[in-house]
Formats: sequence, C-alpha cells, structure tokens
Amino acid sequence: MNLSGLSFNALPPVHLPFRFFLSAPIFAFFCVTILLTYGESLWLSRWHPAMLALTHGFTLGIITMVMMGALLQILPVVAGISFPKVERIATISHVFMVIGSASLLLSFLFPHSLIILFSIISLTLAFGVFIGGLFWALAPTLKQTFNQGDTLVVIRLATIALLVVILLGLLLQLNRFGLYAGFSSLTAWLPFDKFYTNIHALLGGFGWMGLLIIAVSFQVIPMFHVAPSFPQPVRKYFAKLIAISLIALLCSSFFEFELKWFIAVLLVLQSFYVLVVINVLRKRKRKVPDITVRYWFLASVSMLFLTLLYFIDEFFSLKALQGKQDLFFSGAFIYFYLLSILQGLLIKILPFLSYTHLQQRCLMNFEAMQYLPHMHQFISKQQANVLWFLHLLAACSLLIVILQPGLYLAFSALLTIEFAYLFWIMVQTVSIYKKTSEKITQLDS
Amino acid sequence: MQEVVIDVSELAPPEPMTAILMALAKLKAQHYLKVLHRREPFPLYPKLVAAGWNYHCQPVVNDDSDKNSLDNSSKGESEITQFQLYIYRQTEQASFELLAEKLALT
Repeated sequence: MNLSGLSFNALPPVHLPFRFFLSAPIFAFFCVTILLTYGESLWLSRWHPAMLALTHGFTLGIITMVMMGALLQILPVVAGISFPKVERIATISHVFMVIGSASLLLSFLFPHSLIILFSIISLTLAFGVFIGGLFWALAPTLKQTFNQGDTLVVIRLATIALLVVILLGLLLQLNRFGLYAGFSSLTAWLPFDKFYTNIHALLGGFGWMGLLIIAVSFQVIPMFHVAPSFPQPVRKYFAKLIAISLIALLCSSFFEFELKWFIAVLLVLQSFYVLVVINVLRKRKRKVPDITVRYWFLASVSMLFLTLLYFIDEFFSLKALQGKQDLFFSGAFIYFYLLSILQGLLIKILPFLSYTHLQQRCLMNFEAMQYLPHMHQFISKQQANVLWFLHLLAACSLLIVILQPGLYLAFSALLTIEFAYLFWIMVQTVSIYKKTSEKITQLDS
Repeated sequence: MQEVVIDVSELAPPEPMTAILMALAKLKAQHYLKVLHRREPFPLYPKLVAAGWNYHCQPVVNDDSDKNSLDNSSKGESEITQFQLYIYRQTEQASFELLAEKLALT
C-alpha cells in the first residue's frame, strides 16, 4: 500500500513525559520556600530578586517543564512525527532543565557569579538540546503537507518565540555575570535594562506559552470533547496575528510606541481566542460533566475579566491596583489562565497517556485487555474536582496577597496543598500504570 | 475479503482505541476492519505493524465545506472530514491489495 512515503513514529515511552510532569510540583515547593523565606517584603516590587525567582519558578520550573514533557507526546499524536533519539534528548534536556531552573532561581537569591554561570550553562544545554530536537522533528513539516498543518505552523511559531525568549534571558543573565563589563560600546547598543526584561516576559507569556496553548487547543479540544473543529480562519491566521504583534513588540525599541499598547493588543487578541474556545466548547457533542472543560472555562472567563480590568485601570486608574498593576496582571495571567489550562490538560492526559500505552500493549496479546483499569481509576472524578477547587482557591489567594502582602501565609499554604495534591495524583497514576504493566508483562512471559 | 465496520468518529479518547482493540480481537480470517475515524491515529500505526497487522488510511475530502467546522467561510475549500482506516492481517496482504484495486483506494 502507498503510505505517501511517510514513516510514523510511535509514542515515546511514557516515563519520558512523566519525568517532566513529576518535576513541576517540586518547583512549586521551591516557590513555597521562597514565599516563606522572604515573607511580606517579596511583594514590594516585581523587580525584587525573590519575586524574579518566584516568577521563574512558575514559568520555567512548572509551566515550561510540563509543556516540554507534553510536546514529546503531542507531535506523534498530531502528525506522527517525533524527536530524533527521543530518549536521549528527553533525558538530557530534563536533567539540565531541572538543574538549570533550580540554579537560576538560586542565582536570583544568591547572585554569586558561579551560580549565575552554572545556570547559564545548564539552561543553554537544556534548551539547546530540546529546541534543536524540536526543529529537527518539525523539519519534514516544511516540505510535506500534513493534515494537521495549522497546528504545526503554530507549534513552529511557539518554538521560535521560545528560542528568542531563551536568547534574551541568557543575554540578561550574561549581563548579570558581568560579561559586558568594560565593553561600553556593547552595552550602549544593548541596553540590558527593564525594557528587555519586559520583552522577555511578554514573549514568554504570549509567545511561547500562549501560542503553544493555542496550537494544542486546536487538536485537543475537538479530540477530547468531541467538539467541532476551530473555524478555519482562526486556525490559519490567528496565531500569525499574535506573532506579528510580538515581532512589532520586539522592534518597539526603534519606535516611540509604549509597551502598554502592545499589551492591550495582545490581550484583545487573547480575549478573542478565548471567546472562540468558549463557542467551540459550547457546541461539543459530549456534554458530560468534564473537569478539563471546567478548567478551560475558568481560564477563558479569567482572560476576559483580566482584559476588561486592564482597560478599566488604563482609563480610570483603579486605586486598589496603584503600583501593583504589573504584579496583579501577570499573576492573574499565569495562575488563572496559563496554569488553569495546563492543569486541566494534565488531568486529562495523565490517565489518557497511561491508558493508551497499556492499550497498545494489548495489540500484542488481546488477553491483556482484562487487566486494563477503568480510566477513572487513574484519577477519580472526585479527585479532579478537589484539585480544581484547590487551584481556584490558590489562584484567588495569589491575587489577594498581591494586594495585601500580609496574607502571604495563606497563599503559601494553599499553593503547598494544591501541588502536593497534584503530586499525589501523579504518583497514583504512575503506580497504577506500573502495576498493570507488570501484570501484562507476566502474561506475556 | 469481508468487511467489518466500526464508527469511532464520535467517541472521545481512549474509546476509539478500545473499540478497535475489541473489533480486532474478534476479527476472523479473510476479514478486514474498516474504522471510520475523525483523525488519523498516527501512534497506532507502528504498533499495528509490530503486532502483525497492516493498515491503509483513506482520507475523505469534503470539497464544499467542513461539516464539523463552526464557520461557513471555508466553503469552496477542500478539507479532510473523515478518515477511513483499513486494518488487515499481514498474511492477507495479497487479498487486501486485490480488494483495494476494486475499491479504488489511493
């Protein structure tokens, strides 16, 4: 039979993405340690070193960590393509990602040149290997036509955004290391100041993380919830609009535009996207109660409120937010939008991946089907509901602590409980997978 | 060869795979399985081959519009709306090729 000359890759072993997923709660506990150590003072400014450590704990240690693990599985599902030497790439990038993220957080707290250098080397290795592998995997998509072409284009854009974010981050970190000291001509050309940190943050939030969520949603929402496809113009052009806005943002140092106008445009675009998400989900065929759908709605409604509040504050300067706008809006974006979607997807893909890997083994021996657990045995509906509730509580407490830093203990406690519970759910899933896998192995032998 | 058809296009994962597994477990000699799916189950392919099955995927293109899509603006553009996945035993390759010619599979 003619298979168009394409060779399809199997799913990588389940332990590879799970390593990334299991590392995320550990960084949440790292964040709790920072919260408890620095207390109220941490919330004084977004430029406080401990706040920079906290932000990177969430964006790098938790969100990017999970996204990297998820990408290992998404490419084979979406297009039948995979990272080359996936076991080696996943292992190297995971090890250096954990070491690099931890040392980066420490370098903010203890700015010793050796720690800074260690973080630069580790993160360069982690992202160098991962992004290199990702581009290699995506290379055939430039030459051949794939059915899921729209998603792959957006994944490519997200990867380019990640590359720029990492390069900017490394340049900023090299500046902290003191590499440019004595090179006045270089520092004059590259003002390593708050402006570039803002661009680094916005590209990370709306580019890498935002675009990857959009790419993944084009596939997972119709697939998991038997919903209609996203409208074709949205799939084709929407991510490109965000990419153009981000390129304009990158070039904004040459223009007189203020950063707030770029943020406004990006928020409006994100709001339009979540309206489409709500519309697609409302038209889903399987209208059964589903916690992931509830996470999508939470994230979408939060994004709409966030945008509305941003404009109200721009025009009427809300007193409660004075001097705290940056922290408030970025906190809401990270916890209510990014983390909600990520956690919703985790709740869905942890059992799905475990189950799929076990199911595929049954192809070799149909008798093994008797050992397959029910999907809800991995994560029960009740556990998923509890996690959603804990997430909502922690997210609300974050916004409250930004406005009232004295309440930092409440946020620390809720963050600990939320991620300890998530960690427990993950361990339970892995344990059920392993036990079932052993039973199938015994049957085979 | 005789056909056994299952429609998994309105099932959420992992139910399509469960249905395929159940059908394959019961599939008699000189029978093939035709799966109507909404997406191409790429990760299944290498596992099928390793387990002694062969497959052929036939995309169904709708030239007017995507019945599953929310918008009407895609009218006039062709879009794949369904995949017909044929699964058969590797030992029955020759029989399936004859059948494929009859069915004009591409």
